[in-house]
Amino acid sequence: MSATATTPAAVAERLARKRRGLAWARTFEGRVGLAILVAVALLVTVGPLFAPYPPNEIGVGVPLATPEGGHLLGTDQLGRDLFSRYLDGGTTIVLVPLAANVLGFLIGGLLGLFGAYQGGRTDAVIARVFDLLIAIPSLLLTLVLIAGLGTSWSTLIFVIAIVTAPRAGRVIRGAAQTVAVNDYVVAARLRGESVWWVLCREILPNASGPIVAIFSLYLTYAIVGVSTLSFLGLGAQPPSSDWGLMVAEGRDVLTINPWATLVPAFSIGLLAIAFTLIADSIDRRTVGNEA
Amino acid sequence: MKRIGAKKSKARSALRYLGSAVLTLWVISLLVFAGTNIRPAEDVARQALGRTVTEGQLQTFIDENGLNRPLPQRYADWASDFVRGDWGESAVTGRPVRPAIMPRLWRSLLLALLAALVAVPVSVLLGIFMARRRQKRSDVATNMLLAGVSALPEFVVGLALTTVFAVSLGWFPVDSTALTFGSASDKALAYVLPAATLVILVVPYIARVTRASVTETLHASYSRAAVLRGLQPRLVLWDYAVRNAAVPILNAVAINFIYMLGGVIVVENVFGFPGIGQLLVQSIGRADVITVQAAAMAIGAIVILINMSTDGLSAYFTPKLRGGRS
Repeated sequence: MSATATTPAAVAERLARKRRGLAWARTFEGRVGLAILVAVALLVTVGPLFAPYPPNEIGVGVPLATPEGGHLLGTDQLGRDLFSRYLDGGTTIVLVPLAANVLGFLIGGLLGLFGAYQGGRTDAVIARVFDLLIAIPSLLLTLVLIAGLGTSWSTLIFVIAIVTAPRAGRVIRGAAQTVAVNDYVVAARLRGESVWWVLCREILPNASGPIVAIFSLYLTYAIVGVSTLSFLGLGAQPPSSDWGLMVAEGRDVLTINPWATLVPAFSIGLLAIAFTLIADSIDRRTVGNEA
Repeated sequence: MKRIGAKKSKARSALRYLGSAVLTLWVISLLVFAGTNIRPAEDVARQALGRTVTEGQLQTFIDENGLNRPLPQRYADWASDFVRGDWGESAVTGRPVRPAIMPRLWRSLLLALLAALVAVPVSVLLGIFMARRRQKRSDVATNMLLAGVSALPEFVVGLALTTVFAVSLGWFPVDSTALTFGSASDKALAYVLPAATLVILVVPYIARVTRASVTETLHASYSRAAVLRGLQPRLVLWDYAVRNAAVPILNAVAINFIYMLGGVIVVENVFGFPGIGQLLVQSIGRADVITVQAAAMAIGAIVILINMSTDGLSAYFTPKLRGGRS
């Protein structure tokens, strides 16, 4: 099984599978999502190079200037240029949720896969623990953990991962369960392959469709979660230029300069929308369950 | 409406719901307690008292609040006091926690309930509309719009509404602080924007579930047979398709009501709405451990109550769990 098959039929089959894997990118929703994602990715990576001022430099303009005064988004209470801060502040909103999601999917996925493979009592215990944790509203669990662990980027990643893990685990377990009963999995076990080998080579590749869709969807939730915590003052801390924090700081002067709040707020919203649209189109293409 | 044969299994399933509810509440209490007591006592004392305190003051605070006793003992004391209705005294404000929480809890519940009263009919009707026009342009466009809206964070929607309806148009107050001291009409107005935010956030989910399940029941054999028998389309839609789609819709409503209790936490902080979510976030910022515990437990308990009642309701709506035909 380890050698790659090279017969024409096998190659054609592999290509067809690859096309199916990317079919979502040809749906309307998928295209819109991808376009937004590329735009935000460019903004986050290249944007900081175009910042007219250093993002944390105090007093580059009159405090609380409105956009008319030469600063594209105006300035904040300390006279910092808000457009520069906006260009600088997008990194965390992409990287922190991504890290949290990867960690959460690793924890939940390993437990879920293991449960689905073992079956019996192990599986029942794992499923029960997942259900118990899912029964607790995610924001409540997040807040309680933050109350105990304090606020830093590493605890934020950890907390969001803990909230994501059981939810991801349940989906992955379900997807793996339907695959685990197939003949080729049974055959691999009878051949005496190790648990790890069967999980990674037989079960995971064949259960990947729903897992990819759910990863994209949970990325949305993580982005919403992280930015919400920053907005509540429990995530990014000053003087960070994180978008969620920018929204919170701009909220006080909403009546004077709404753009300072609305631009970062809608950027967060757009990013979340992009991942949801992608999740939606993958779901529709790979699962094909559109009733 | 007689349920004869199912009596025994009903009692058993009711017991099971109750059991799992109690278990979940217990897990929540463990997590809440662990979450709020992970940090060393000195840190908690320092955060509650401020930066410039003497060693002696810290020690007095720790002794007064019993922060140096072993954790299991502290958990046992806290939990047994809590279930007996003694929710403790806030170390920050020095006042008992329960009277501070209760009025806020009612306001938050009222806010969620108001939002649900608007959101449920709107979203169910929207879902049915989409199911009937499935794959037509209006359906595809609505579906994508809903997918987009469902992804937005609560504070983005809340701030957008504030900017348009409070700052630009001036129809509603920018924040909901009027609830604590304003007149009756001010109070009523203060509910509008927070509730509208919640409505916008839950409509997509319920509408999409309704669309999916009504589409399914519209194509089921009993609906097609009803059409072939010559029944009016309107009758087929409401009496056959919608009625049989009730359970998944109900579940979606319940999930969203629970979600709203979480959403309330954010929305309250956007609008300065004096509810339990605002108290929870403020207390976390002030390291007011006792209040955090009580507020989190109160929210957790309500979530579990809703879970239980939905389980009961969907059992009622599933003919298999009822004795006969109503």
